[in-house]
Amino acid sequence: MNILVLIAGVLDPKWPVAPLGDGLPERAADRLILSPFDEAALEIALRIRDAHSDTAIRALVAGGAEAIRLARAVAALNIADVATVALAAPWDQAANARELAAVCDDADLVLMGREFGDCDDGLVPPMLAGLLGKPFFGRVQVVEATGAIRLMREAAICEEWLTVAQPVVASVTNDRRTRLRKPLMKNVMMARQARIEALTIGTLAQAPTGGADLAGVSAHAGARAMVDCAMIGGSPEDQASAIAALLVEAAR
Amino acid sequence: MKDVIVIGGGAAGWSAALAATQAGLSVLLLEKLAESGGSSALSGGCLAFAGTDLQAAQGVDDSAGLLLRDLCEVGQHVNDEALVRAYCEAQLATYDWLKAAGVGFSPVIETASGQSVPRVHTVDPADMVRTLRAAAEASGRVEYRPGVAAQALVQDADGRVVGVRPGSGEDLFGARAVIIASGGFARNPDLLERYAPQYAEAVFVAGAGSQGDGLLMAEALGADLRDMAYVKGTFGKHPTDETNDHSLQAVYKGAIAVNQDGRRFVNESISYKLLGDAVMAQPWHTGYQIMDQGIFDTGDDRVRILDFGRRLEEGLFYVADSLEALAARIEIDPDVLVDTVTRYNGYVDAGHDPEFSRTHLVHHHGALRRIETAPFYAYPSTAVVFGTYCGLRIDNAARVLRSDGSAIAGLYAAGEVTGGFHGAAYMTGSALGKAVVFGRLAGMAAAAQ
Repeated sequence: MNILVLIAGVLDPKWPVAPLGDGLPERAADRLILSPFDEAALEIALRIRDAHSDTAIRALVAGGAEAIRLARAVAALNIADVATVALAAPWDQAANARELAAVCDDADLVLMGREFGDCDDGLVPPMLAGLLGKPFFGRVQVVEATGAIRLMREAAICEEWLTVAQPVVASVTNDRRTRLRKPLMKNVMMARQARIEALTIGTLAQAPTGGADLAGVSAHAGARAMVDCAMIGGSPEDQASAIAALLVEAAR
Repeated sequence: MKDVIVIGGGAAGWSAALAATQAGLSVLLLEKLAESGGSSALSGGCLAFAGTDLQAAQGVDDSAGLLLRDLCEVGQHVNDEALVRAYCEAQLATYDWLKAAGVGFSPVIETASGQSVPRVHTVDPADMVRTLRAAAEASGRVEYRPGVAAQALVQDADGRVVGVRPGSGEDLFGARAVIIASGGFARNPDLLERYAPQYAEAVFVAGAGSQGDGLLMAEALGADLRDMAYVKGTFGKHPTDETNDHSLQAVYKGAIAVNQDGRRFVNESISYKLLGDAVMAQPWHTGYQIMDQGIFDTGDDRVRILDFGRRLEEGLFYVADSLEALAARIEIDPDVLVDTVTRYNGYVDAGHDPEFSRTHLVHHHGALRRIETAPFYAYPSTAVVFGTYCGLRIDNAARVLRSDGSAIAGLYAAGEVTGGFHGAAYMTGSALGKAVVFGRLAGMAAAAQ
């Protein structure tokens, strides 16, 4: 089985966020870490490989040069094929999905964190599945890898299991049962020398066409630049009205 | 002007301050960081005492004499026996003194590195330092200045140390003594490169203030140094876990240590400092503590270095239902690991380990255990340098000595900044023990002169 794990990375919350001129925080190499969802996706891939030694894992880490350090951390999990992929518009779900679709090749199973690159929207994984024309299974919590590979998510009153019998895109959420293992020291040291390929838009294959009609998002002159910080007081109704007024103002 | 200036606010510094104030002296304690506590507060909270009421309550027959023998053995007789003897003679009174000051001890007594009988007395180390500080400050005779770093020692015309020079402002003077309790140099790359190049790949965990400044200040006045060749890391630190600084000592409960090739490389019962040396010589500077469920169940969640359950919850153990599967998890040839464990179990049965001469779980204590009951566990382990265990040569009154054996008048030292006590290796609890025992002795000596 060929597994592709797509890694978004997040800013390490132990550091204060320092916005750059465009209002977005700097993704410095020493401040990028795996998100809990990235970690769970990786652990699920590793458990499948533990049980099926013929499994090949490829990992792509979103970002440019700043992501190489994080890519080496992924390589330290004894994943030989790790590359970075520079996404042109990190906050545009549709653009992300299109670009990622171009690198999914013939993966039998695509695993990615449920919040890949879009805060809590969780739109990129299903968009990617739509573009690839593959089934989508969201919020995976557990893998059962002895024998057939089965993915599980909890619904309100039951568990839902998917047997991976055909290529599928799955988003993964964090769960204490899939906490990422620590790398072996020998692999950490070998990862320091690992070759990390850097993919850019120019090197990507053409993204598949068709599938979902993706709306995506567009750049917006945000409220951050237009509205000074203000203390909102009064009753809850007054506060709600004040916030709504600010949002309306920001949207103009 | 105060009677005494203490440099450093860890366990040694606050012990010295408390003892001095109890003798009626006034004390100025300088701490270069914003908060006191130092490496003591980061430690495992183990103190090596012998003959305590806690030991007696558990039927442990221990004595100052046995402690002396163990300390000299584990230090391979490189240590200064007079200094070790001073510790042994003062340790029980120091234990009672700590309790009187309000320090709380766990009722659990464990056995660890270099101990013939259970004598690990456990405290919350940060809380112990806070308690010592509170007791000292309650006297009303301590002035505490955080954020003030001593840059140099000040001598009078006769060469007597009479004060310290801070980074800014006027010199500070102590009428009777200056006590250096500034910690080791585990955060000073230059000194580490000079004295411990073999540990370049080790993990370092020490208080931010462990820069060796006290050592350098005294050395500038001609102070002699001891044990500088014996900087060692502690075996048992998980090499790739960055959230947990403590080591784990499953070997002292019966685990074996194997390297990445799946082979044992050392007698696992020796001091974890010597185990640290051994693991640093292995491929990737890493080994694994291998145990079965029976050994795992002997862990103790009240002692950090034996808290196997917590490390399991933290995801730091590899676990498998067979040795072959465990080997696969840690990328060791399964046949080699099975062979290693099988041969070791044979040594346990025969009562003879022809490879490494292991006879006990730890030092002279405990019968060896077979590794046979699934599931099996592997804990990745490298060496971590918590402290430097060497430094200023002192006498049994904590006076700093020159190479000719003469004392530098007015200058005392205690805690990690001093050498000569540990020798070539280390007994669990002797570093924090050294801090409080010699800190107290230094404070008392300053008052007695």
